[in-house]
Amino acid sequence: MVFSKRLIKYIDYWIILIIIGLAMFSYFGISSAKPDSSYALKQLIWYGLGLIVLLVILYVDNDLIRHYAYFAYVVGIVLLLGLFLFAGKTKGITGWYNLGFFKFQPAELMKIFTIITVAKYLDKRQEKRFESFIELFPLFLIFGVPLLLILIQPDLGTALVFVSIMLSMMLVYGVKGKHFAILGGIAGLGLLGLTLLYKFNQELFSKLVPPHQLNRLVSFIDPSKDPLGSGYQVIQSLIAVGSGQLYGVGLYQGQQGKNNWVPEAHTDFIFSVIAEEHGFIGASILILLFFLLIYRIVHIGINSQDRFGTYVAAGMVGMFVFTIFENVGMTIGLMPITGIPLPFVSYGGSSLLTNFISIGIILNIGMRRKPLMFE
Amino acid sequence: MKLSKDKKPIAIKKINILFFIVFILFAAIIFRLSYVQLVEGEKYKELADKNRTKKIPITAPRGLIKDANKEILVSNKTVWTITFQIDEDSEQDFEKIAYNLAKILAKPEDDIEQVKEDILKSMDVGPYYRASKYIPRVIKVDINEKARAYIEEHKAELPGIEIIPDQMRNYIYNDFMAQVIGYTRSIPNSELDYYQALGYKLTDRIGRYGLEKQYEYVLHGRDGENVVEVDSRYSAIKQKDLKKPIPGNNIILTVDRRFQQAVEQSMEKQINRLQSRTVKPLKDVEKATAVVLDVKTGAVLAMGNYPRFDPNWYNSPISQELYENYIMPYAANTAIRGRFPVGSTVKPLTVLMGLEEEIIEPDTVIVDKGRILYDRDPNGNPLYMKNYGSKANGPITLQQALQKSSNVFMTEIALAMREKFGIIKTLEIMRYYDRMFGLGEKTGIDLPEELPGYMSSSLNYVHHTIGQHDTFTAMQLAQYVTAIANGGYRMRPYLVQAIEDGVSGKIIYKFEPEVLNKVDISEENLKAVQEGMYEVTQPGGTAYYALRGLPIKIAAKTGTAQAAERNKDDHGIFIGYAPYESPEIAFAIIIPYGGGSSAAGPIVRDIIEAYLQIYKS
Repeated sequence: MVFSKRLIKYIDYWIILIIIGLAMFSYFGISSAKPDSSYALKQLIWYGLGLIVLLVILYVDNDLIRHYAYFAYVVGIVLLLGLFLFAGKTKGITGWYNLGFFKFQPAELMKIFTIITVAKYLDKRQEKRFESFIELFPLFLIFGVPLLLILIQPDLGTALVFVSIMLSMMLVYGVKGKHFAILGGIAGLGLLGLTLLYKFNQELFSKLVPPHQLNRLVSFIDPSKDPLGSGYQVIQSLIAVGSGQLYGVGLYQGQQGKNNWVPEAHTDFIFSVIAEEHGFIGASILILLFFLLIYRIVHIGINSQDRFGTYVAAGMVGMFVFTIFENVGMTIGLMPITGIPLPFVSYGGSSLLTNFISIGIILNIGMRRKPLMFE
Repeated sequence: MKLSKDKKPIAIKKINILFFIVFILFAAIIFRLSYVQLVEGEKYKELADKNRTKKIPITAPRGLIKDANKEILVSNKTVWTITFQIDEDSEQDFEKIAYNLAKILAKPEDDIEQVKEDILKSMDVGPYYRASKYIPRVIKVDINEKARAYIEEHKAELPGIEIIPDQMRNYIYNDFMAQVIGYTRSIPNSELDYYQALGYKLTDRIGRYGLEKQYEYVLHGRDGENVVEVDSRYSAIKQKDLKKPIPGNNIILTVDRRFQQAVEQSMEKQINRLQSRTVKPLKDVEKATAVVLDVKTGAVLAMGNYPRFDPNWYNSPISQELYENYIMPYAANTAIRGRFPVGSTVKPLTVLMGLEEEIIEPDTVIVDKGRILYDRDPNGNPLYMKNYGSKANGPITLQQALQKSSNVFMTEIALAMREKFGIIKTLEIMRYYDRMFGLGEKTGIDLPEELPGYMSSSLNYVHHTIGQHDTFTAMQLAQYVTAIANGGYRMRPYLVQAIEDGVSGKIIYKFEPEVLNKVDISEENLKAVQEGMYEVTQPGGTAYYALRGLPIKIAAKTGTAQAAERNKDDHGIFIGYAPYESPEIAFAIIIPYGGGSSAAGPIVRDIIEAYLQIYKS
């Protein structure tokens, strides 16, 4: 628990700068999408709280985080289970505890707890290879439990984040390509099963896959099929993004967001608003910031003094990349629509705090990296 | 060196692969983003503009109709109208929409189910459509401000329902001149394409009868447009462009409202009197029609029918009961569509023909014994032509023949004609003279509904000379008497004298009097007949009692024509002009089943008095 000057020196200030950049995009994006409310200001307050959380985490010793990993995991599972007892539905999903002043989504925290837990587990194996597919079982168990709990909320978007984290960490640990192939085969079989079920027993199918999820997929393939239903969001988002062209229509000049053409413009679809107002140039800068952020995380992962840090970094990369790709992708018709926010930019305290915690852990790992050879 | 490289942990190697995948994904985003924004950007920008822009048409006010003194007879009022548009792309629960509307529109005493059913009927949602699915249906016209606000706020529950500002015609004097002015209604299905090509909206109203129809091109304005930016609920948030509507132009009639009203009131009074008088009340009489023309120009000074309907009724949906009892029987403009045998009013023309064809001379005297044998029927029984009451007039001149309305005199002309030309040629010549004066021809009045006369197939050339053969309209009679009065000029009657700019009020077009033809009659012969017509109103004449005591000299001719239905009363006809010395007005009155020409006498008297009072003081 030493917070020496030496450690402060090793803080990755690039990441801090990137987050400040993202905060600016966030503030202007939200105030443009909701010009007549205080969302943007609230977001700044969340940013302030996030920074405090970040500092607290920097102060905590790396080993302590590792030490309490399994405990945190269990707490997370309990919180997820508790949802089905104590939480009501928000937007059709049993995913939030309503704490009055803000809505708490345990799945967000669970992502971090799972990453740490898996990283600890993998670190303990000391790079011992998984020789057979069955050996991967503990990994599937650690991921599978929260994944299943989130799937039945049902929150497909967040569940897919877990899959992405899992795959990233498996990849970085060095799981054999053969095993990935088997996993892909199982997923393929599952999809085939669902397709057959849709064909022969629609009733059971619609119980497993809610109709709106199916609609989103159909609209993704052909948005014009239902231009006023689920395809509407995609089309309106494309109109917003597309009409931004190279330079954008200008700050606060966008119409698609604030006049409700694009739904959830301050949360899930904030990228559309930014792309409309700031054009290809602005949107590219935002994407570049994200890319740099990922790069810095990878950098920290590589320079980590132990493998635990590398695995955590891999998990974080899997988490952020999938979230960013899915969120931005859905606004430009690259991915089907799911309800996951853009990290650090979308309005919302729960996700922002989770992101700050994640970055805090990463910075913490980076601070305590191995000293350079020539020092 | 090689060893240390191999010692590099797997994780570090693999994280580079992960980063490479990340790079691919981000590149995909940038690639796709550049495609959406740079390649397709223009397309989406256009879509965005279209998406967010709503054009709200502003119906241009229709031109006004004014009388000769520029007093407004027909104006407009703006009302809010509920329309419904079937939209197959959205899910419309017709029953629910109708029920929601019924809740808003039903008055406390109404049965909500009944109101709902009525609305559903107006919505015309099939399966058998009364109007094309693509036409908005009018649900209710002229709703109040409260209902409007409520509906606007609850539009989400009423898909397809719109509230549009609608221009309604306001016929200020209600049934005044109803069949002449006409009315507006929605565009009939069969003409939608035509009017849409002219830039009309589906919900527009067009003139469908009378002057409203005739002058549609003048009265219809050019719609404006309010272009607004809308949000996703299609409520306006910003005005982008406003094109002001250009009101239609006004038409100024030749008719003085006061004079027309006097004529209409006189007809109403007289019909009521005929129906309810204690001595010999008439059972069949119901209608009257009168036309007064300016002798010099042909301008219509009055053109009236009784009874009339109120064109304001057409502003709202019309019940079958209202239509069948109060509109349909009186919808037609009798003055230009009602064709009647005109009886003795053709006699001036018969005499003119006799003179022109040199059958008689201006000083010819014929002995009128009250009846004359003119032919035998197929069984050999004699056919006589008798005077009214078989009265023998003795030796008479042509003037006296007109004064006393001698049938015998006319028959003598007919018989001499047959002697000279044969029956077929005689009828041909008779109709030639009719046409010369416009009898049996369209008069050319600026109304779309005019009918020509009706030619009888019978060869009874004798009946033709006393007006019991072909049938003519009151307007034709008026044109005919105008030509006698003005020295032989057949004028085209017209109702609109000028077009006034709808904005500035300046006269932008003036209609000039138009001579259709000059009759081929010598001045001398015309004068002889004019004198005869003057004698009609003098002591001993058939119109003496009806018109005596009036301060000006009047030329006239009475007529009593047998109705085609033999069990019904005779038609009463009255034509003439005044003042006799320098004619200014010509009139023709027909009272179907009025019992005889005396029925029209009081109306003529009222017309002359009103003329003197309104035009001469």
